[in-house]
This record gives sequence, structure tokens and C-alpha cells, in this order.
Amino acid sequence: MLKRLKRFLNIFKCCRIKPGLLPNQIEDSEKIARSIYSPINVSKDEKSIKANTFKPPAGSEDLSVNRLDYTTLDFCKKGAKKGENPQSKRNYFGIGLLTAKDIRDSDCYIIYSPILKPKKERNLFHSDIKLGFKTIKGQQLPAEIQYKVDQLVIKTRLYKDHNPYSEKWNGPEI
Amino acid sequence: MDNIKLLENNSIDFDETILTKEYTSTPSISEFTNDHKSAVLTCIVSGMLLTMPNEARAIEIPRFIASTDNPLVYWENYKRNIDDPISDFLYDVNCIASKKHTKKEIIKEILSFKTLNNNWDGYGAIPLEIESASNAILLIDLLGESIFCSVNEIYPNPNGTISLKWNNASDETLSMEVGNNTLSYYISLSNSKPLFFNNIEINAKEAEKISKYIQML
Repeated sequence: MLKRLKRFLNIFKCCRIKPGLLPNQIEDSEKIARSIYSPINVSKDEKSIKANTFKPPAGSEDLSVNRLDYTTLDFCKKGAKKGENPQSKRNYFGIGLLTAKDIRDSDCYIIYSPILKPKKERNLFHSDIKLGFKTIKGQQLPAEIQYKVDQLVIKTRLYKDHNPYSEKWNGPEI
Repeated sequence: MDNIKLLENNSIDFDETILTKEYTSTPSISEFTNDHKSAVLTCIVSGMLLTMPNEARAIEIPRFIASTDNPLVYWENYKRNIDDPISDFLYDVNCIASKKHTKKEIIKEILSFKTLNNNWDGYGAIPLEIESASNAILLIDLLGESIFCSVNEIYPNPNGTISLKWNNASDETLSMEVGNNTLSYYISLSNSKPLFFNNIEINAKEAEKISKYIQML
């Protein structure tokens, strides 16, 4: 009897939400933030972003983003600054903002993918935009996927952090 | 220097009385142009001569011989000898005006992407591949400097390829990604669906097609 009960309860195990995790469903209206680096991702006039902001590395189709409705710009900045690499033209610049609807309208999709391990890099707000095509080393994206990426770029609002060296967000209110 | 000599040797009749004419109020552009026809013409001609590079100036003076009564042949001759050369000439002048970079600057920029470190985007990106870089440089020669150098954006991608983008004020775009072996691009014009071209060989024939699309922007 007990075994049966245990088996019955196990059915619901996969549906349990671990404490601290966000809902799996990402609403259309949710704000999604992508870190932007300069000069590699930003045009010379600093008013728009380049499409490489939304291009994944070889062998991947995922683009890391944060669910801004559940976190703060300070948290996003902290994470983005870890990815700085000034020797490779990659200085923290600000964030690019989209809604989940913008992503879906561009024929891409977004999934919730919290980073739980290692503990140092834990990020419960992390999600992935999926392009629907895995890039290959040295091989250009099909034109249709380039178009998809450019649609994401058009829909992205760029927010500059006026003091990229500080720990806290110094850009406009979002 | 040759341009200056040419200008010095030009003998355009100049009415000196226009220099002493006084206007009661600020003249309009058309009023001023009417009064200073020869001076305005000189300015336009000298400006064009001084700003045009050799390839644009080397255009042959159109010759039109209307030695036929057949209107179709007449029109063909006119188009071939007058209309087309003038269109080409105007395109060259527009290209020069919209030229944003020099060939040297672009090659320098392409090569700088090769010096990026591994993992330059923090997500495992690789530097620009040598083959992709050399294909992009080859494309400059195939498209012609004046067309290629009007490129609006040029940037590396995390998988080792390179992207180029041409667009105009109406947001019409030709977006291209050059890989190790081939290239792919799309063109998006106002009021029409985008056209997609995949795995295109990098050769003179394809470059001519791409060049025509770029000229449409």
C-alpha cells in the first residue's frame, strides 16, 4: 500500500518547483535582458547593436539572457562584467532589452534554464533564446536565420550604462 | 594638381557686373543662381573635378549619332550612348559621396578580427577564420572598391565567420555572412518580401549579382 502511494506521489515529482526557482512559463510581456559589450556589439555611433550580439558560438543555438522582471539591473550588470574581455574588444556597455513576445515574433523561442551549479555561478534568472539552428565553425548562417537574428536586433532597445566601471547600474530607469 | 591646372586653363566668360550687384534682401537660391549662372557652374564643375577619383573621371564623353529614322534604333542608340553612361556616371558620383571607408581601413578591420582571443565573447567564440577573412578580402576586389566600401557594418561572428551589411535611409538592407567556403545573404527591400540566397560561390559572376542588389539600395 505504502509502495503504491509512493509511486503515485512520484508522478508529481517532476512538477514540483524547487524553492527559489521561477515559473517555467515565460509570459509574452516579460522583459528579457541581454548583456551588450563595446565595441564588438555596438555600432560606431553607439545607437544600435550589431547582429553578432545574437549569434551563438559554434555548435550552439542558445543565447544567454536574464528574466529582468524577477531580478535587478545591478544583478545583470554584475553577471555581464564577469564576461568582460577588454583584449578582445569586449568591454561592458549596457543591456539590450526585449520582451518575450519580441523574441517569439522573430520566429525564435525562449526557455527558462536556471544555472544551479557551480554555486559560484548560480543564476536563477537565466534563460536561453533558441534560434532553431546550431551554428557550425567557419560556416555562415543560412540567410533565413540571419534574417531572424536581424529581426531580434531591430526589436532590441539598447540602454547604455553611463558608468560601466561601477558595480551598480548607472543607466536610465527601465 | 592636374585638376587645378585644368581649372586655371578653363576660360569661362565671367560677367564682372554681378560682383557689384547689391541685393535689398537675402536672395533666394534660384534668384542667386540666375544672377551667377557662370560662377555657380564653375563651382559645381570644379567641385566635381576636385572630389572625383580617377575611376569616376575616366568616363568617356558620350557620343550620340542620330543617323537613323527608325525610332526604336534611335532610342536604343540614345540609351546606349547617352542614358546608360550618364546613369553609370551618376552612380559613381553617388558611390563616392556615400563611400564610408577606404579599402585599407576595411582590410585592417578584417585582419583585426583575426587577433581576437579564443572565447572572446565569454561563451566560447573563436577568432575570425583565415579562410573567411580571405574570402571577405577577395569580395572587395570582386565587388569593386566603390561598392564594397559603402558597407555600413562589418563585424566578426562567434563561429569564425564575418558579416557585412549595407543599408539605406529607408531601412532597406543587404545582409551577408561570409564563411570559409561560401557566403549567404538576404536582401530586404521596402514593400516586398526578403529574398534569401544560400551557399553562394564567391566568384565574379555572383559578385556581379550582389553588386546589382547593393546598387538598388
